[in-house]
Amino acid sequence: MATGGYDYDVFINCPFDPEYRSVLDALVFVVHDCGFQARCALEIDDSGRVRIENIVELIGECRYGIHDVSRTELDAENELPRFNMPLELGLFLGATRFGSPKQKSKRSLILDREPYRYQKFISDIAGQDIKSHDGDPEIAIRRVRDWLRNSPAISGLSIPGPQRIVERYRLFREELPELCRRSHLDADDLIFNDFTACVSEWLKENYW
Amino acid sequence: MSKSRRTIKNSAKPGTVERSRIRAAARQIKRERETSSGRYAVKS
Repeated sequence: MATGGYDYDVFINCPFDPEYRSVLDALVFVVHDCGFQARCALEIDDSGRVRIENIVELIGECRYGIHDVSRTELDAENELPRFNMPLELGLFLGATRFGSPKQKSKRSLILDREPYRYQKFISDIAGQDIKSHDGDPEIAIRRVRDWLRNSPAISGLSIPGPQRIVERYRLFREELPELCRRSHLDADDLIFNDFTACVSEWLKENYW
Repeated sequence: MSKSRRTIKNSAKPGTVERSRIRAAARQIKRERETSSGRYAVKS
């Protein structure tokens, strides 16, 4: 998987179910459009390793982390919540607290559906940078853009405004099926690595 | 060099071929978008 280096890699910790895919796609796009590289557990396909080891390594390689804790519903089948996102958020915050000076420079953005909802189920994260997106990909784009704008990597540089990135994302979505067709990819079944490749290469040809 | 870096290096060749194809497609689509005559069918 491509990497932009520690100071430009953004760990995306979010649900992987189809209902969330539109938000995940938007997160990947805005991260890349701001000059960073999206990283995610979905990029790893190494059945020979324990999954948590892959995730720990990934977290160690990323200065930035976007953690979406919006998926708290009980699973319809076993009536239990999904704990992977809070677990990985804890690992990321732990690295920030107990890691090397490099790891302590990490920055997190925590996303949820509604403002202050997190206080009812994960109140210990109060004081972190927590924003709501209402399940709307375009709101998620604005939240992430504004957060990255204030990152040290952007210091002295400029990135497009949130509305400009939203418009660019709409154009990308419009052209993605054709891009996939010409690239021999299946637009309806893009895995994470294919999608990030499409985003990355499309952006290289569509400078802002 | 970490294991992940080695993995990236080893997979770079086929990835480069795929990415160059995607980029060429993106370039062509942009060109067609910018010329009204050759624009591919994007519904507005």
